[in-house]
Amino acid sequence: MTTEDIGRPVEILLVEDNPGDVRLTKEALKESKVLNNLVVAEDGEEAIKVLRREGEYADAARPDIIFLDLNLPRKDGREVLAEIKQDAELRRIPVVILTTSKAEEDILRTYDLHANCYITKPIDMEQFIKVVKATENFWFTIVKLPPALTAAEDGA
Amino acid sequence: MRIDLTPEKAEEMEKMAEAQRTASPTKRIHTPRVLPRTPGMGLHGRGDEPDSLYQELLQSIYDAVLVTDMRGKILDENVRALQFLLYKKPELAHLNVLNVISGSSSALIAQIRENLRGQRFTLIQAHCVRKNGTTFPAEIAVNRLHLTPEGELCWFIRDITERERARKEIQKANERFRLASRAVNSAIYDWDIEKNSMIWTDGLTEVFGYDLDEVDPTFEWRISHIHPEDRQRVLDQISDDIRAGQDFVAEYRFRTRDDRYLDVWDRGRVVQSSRGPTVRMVGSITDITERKRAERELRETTDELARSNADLQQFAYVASHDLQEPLRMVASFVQLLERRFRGAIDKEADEWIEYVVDGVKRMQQLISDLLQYSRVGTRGKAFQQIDLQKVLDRVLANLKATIQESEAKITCDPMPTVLGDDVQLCQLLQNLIGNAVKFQPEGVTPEVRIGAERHENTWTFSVRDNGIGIDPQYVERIFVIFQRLHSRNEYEGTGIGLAICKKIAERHGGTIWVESEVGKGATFFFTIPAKGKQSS
Repeated sequence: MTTEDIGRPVEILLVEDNPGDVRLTKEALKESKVLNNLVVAEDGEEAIKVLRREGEYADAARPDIIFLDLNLPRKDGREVLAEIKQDAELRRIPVVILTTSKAEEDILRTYDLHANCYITKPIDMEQFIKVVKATENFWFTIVKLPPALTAAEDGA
Repeated sequence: MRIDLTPEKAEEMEKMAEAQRTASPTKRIHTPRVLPRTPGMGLHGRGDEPDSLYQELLQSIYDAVLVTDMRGKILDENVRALQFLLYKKPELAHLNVLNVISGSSSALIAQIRENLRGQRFTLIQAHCVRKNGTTFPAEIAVNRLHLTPEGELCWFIRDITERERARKEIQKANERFRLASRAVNSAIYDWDIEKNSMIWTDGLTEVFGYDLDEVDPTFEWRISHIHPEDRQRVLDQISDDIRAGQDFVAEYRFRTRDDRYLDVWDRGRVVQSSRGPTVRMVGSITDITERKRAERELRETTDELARSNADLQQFAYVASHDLQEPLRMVASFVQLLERRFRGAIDKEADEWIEYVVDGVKRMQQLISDLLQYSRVGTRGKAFQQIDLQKVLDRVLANLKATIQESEAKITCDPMPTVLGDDVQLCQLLQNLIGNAVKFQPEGVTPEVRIGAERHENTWTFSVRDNGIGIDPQYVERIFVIFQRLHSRNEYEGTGIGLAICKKIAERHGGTIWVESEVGKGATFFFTIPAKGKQSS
């Protein structure tokens, strides 16, 4: 699956509690060539609600990719990751861990939980923009992803 | 010289006298028989039967015996007396007993006569003088005879040189023991378990304040003075050890006379009789309050150190994460500003943004350096044998770009193998060699020589350059964190490199220093023990 195949903007779920980082990611995405719809969840619980289309998120689109921070209020990123990867409906969605942590144990643990990739946020803005662009490029133009679930499977 | 008659002695003497009175008829009859008929003829036997019995008895007595008149004039003696005093028989006949008792006078005789009024024997201790003027300690028992109507005094002289020597020896030993027990801050006890009596040294008084006359220091007394929280444990242990016949060792709190508790170390040795069950326990209770306090202080200091180390690690984390986080925001948005609005406002705005970006970047560098510095001690690897040649090769590979750019000439001695942390040793060499290449006047080709020399148990490494050198007054300062000798316009850097080098050298049990003069290059030295130091 590539963006060409979708024929619509890429749905991105960003799970990030820091508004500054949200904004930076938005700005970085703005500079990318890929058309996208960004949904932001500010903590782990909200992220799960979006993914399960609970309550006010009943109409939420199913994300094509998830950018997940690790240190989140309430339900933290590791728990969110574990839930996604245990859920048959959600586990095919690529999860990109985007965090400031360089700790080896965080890296190991998230891969053990089947994270699709782990990225440490670069301190430098130029670098950050590069990384976001490269990530998008990789996941939406290089990687072949499983086909989107049918409407029936989708449960819509 | 003193006249001394303890009640026990007196009683003993009385018993002896009584025994003599009630003894066999032979003995009972001798006294009347030896009565000399003629005063002045003396008591010397003249062959008649009573005299020979008297003489036989006199000569058979183990002590030296002198018979004198009531004023002390010597009338008769036995052979032992001649042997003891080294006189010949006729010589003694002219002497008074006072002549053979050192420092005596007629007052002595008067005193003895006085004493003999109420009792049969009196005892004196004195020094006897031999003919040659030497003396010996003696115990003299005096009694009164009734050979003539005037009466006589009979002096039984016992040489107590040996006994005195033994007594002094015991006294000395006791004194030594007392001093030793005081020196070790102990009360020593000897506990007779069957009789339940305890003998204590005066350490009990000196260390714990109990007057031995005031208390009855039995086992129960001792147990009742143990801190209630320790009592049962000590009691159980002591019973177990006695049953098992093994040494008893315990630490507990013991109450002093003024109601304080001292930490004590009690060690008792079970003494078994040859017949089997334990009969005694001999041991000592030592005041270790001071040692305990020192131990406690040491433990507290260690805990505090561990805490402050933990704080430091926490600080490192705060520096790495919590401080960097807001800074990252500042840096990112300023960079975003620069990216989107460069040239859009005006030149001044561009310049100011540049300053902000530069400042933030430097701050990020400082924080990251600080983190690295604090990690030398806390995140180092365990030491192992490191081939420094390999480390040096890696350093030169890491510095390849810098070296090529400056066309530096690098020469090296062969490197040894040492015990250390390869990552840190790499960092140490890289910082020194990097500095050697960096601190060069413009237009000069850097020449760097890396040396390794062993002196006895120490390897001394050196990195010599032909660079700008260092003013000798600053050679100490350069190893202090964030101390810089040059403006950032001249040479880049935060001033962390040498501080990290110092910390690494010290962690490896070595030192670091520099020898230099301005304009004549610098040589940095650092040492590493050839036999290594255990990693901390």
